[in-house]
Amino acid sequence: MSVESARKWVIVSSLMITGALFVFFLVAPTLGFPLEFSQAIRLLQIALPVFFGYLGSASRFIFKTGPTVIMQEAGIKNSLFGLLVKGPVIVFIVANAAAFFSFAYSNRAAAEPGTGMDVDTLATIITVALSLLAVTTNAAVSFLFDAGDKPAEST
Amino acid sequence: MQRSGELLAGVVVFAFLIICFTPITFGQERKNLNGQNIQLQNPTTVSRARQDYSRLVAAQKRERMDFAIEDCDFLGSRTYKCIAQSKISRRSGGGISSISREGGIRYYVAPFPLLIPQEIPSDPHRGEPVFDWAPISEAFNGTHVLENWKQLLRAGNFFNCNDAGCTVLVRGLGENEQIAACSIDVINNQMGAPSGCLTLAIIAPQETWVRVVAGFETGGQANMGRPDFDISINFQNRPIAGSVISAALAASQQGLANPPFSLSTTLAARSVLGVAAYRVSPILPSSRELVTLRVDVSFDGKTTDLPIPKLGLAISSTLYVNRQNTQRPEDWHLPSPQQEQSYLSQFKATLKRSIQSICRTSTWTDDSTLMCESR
Repeated sequence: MSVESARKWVIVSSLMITGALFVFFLVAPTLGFPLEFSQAIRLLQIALPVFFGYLGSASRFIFKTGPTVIMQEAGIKNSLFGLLVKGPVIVFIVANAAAFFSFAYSNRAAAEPGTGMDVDTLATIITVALSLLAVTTNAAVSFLFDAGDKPAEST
Repeated sequence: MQRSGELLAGVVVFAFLIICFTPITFGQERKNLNGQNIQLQNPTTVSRARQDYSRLVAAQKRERMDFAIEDCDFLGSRTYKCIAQSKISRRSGGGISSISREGGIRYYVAPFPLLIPQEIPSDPHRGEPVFDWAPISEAFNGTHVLENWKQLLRAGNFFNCNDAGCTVLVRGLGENEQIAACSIDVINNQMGAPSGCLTLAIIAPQETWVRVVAGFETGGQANMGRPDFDISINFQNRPIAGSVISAALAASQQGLANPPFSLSTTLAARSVLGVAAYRVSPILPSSRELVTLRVDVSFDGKTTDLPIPKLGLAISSTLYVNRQNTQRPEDWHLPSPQQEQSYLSQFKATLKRSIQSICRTSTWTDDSTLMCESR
């Protein structure tokens, strides 16, 4: 995986996850998902800042002024680089999808009383999934966007 | 790289299958209310308790200048002191504000009696108990009683059960630890919502306040809840009280037991009660509910053998809702004003339909008055 494609992956996935979380948490309570609006906003507050951080790093990287440095576009030779960039984001998406499904399923009308997942458990799962990003993707983002490289202007 | 991707995909599919086909239990069913936190309808704060106590002390200080303190009893125990042959009138918010020589009504001085309100037996000659806040040091055996309450709270079991229901101690949600005593109805092993909760103790880091028995007072019904709405039935043919009371109660019971409410019901001499616990609310379908609905029948007259011109129904409700299917105490909260209004409107409409069935001909003259020719 090249550095440029890794950057694109981080930016695109962050944008898509941010958009999806926004839409989900704002729309789900009105469509019968067992969350109150205040709870949905609380979960949004937990999940979004990490992706805002990635997008912020990318923005600073794109728009920063100063001498440009020709970067190593050839890519990183380590075969684990791609896995480390893509894997945690995929795991985050899958873990969240599973948590939301499980939350909705256990809180459905036909479920046995008292067996539902509570909001704090859902928040914990989201936090754990985010912590995976914090220990992996954060390092990659730091390398990709803050290492001093800036893509050469294509003039 | 490709093998790693396949491995990751395999793990994801495996996890998804486990989640889909494993019976999910995030909570455990409760058989009592141990550790239950309840959002109290009338929460109390330390500052309010302090204010109430200051008023009580000021009133008693004035009284002590004129009247003697003497030994008196509390539920058979003569270890208390009180101001005898005096009357202390209650201010609107509860408690004591002024004193005048009248009657034989007892008002205690410190150390005050301390007892769970539901455990004080009703006695029309003695009057209704009046409660006020005092520091725990001003309560008789305060520390010991509070420790007992804490044990009851931890156990969460129902106690003091009788025809009117049981009592349970719960933890009130608030800025400080609060212990409250609630009444709870149990019908056919179906628990209703804790109702009539009264805070017994506020435990702050530096101070502990307890609700003590300040005295007994006749002429009022202390701690009686306000009904949510009333229905009046005016009879055109003056039927015998006993027969229409039975008919009205049976009709109310039908209203509670039949859809949409479908509550477990029980009938008493002058009231009917319906409860449901932890079910999907038929009225607020996005929420689960813990509910007790009660209809009390009253009439002007001493016996049920005589004809009566009218009958009154007082309807009260206690409702807790939860958006999730959990039994965590903090998830159960009072409904919003809009939810409560919607619930009561539906209940009123259902009850009005049911009550009409006791009449041969009937007309609603306004929203809560029925002109009825009884069967």
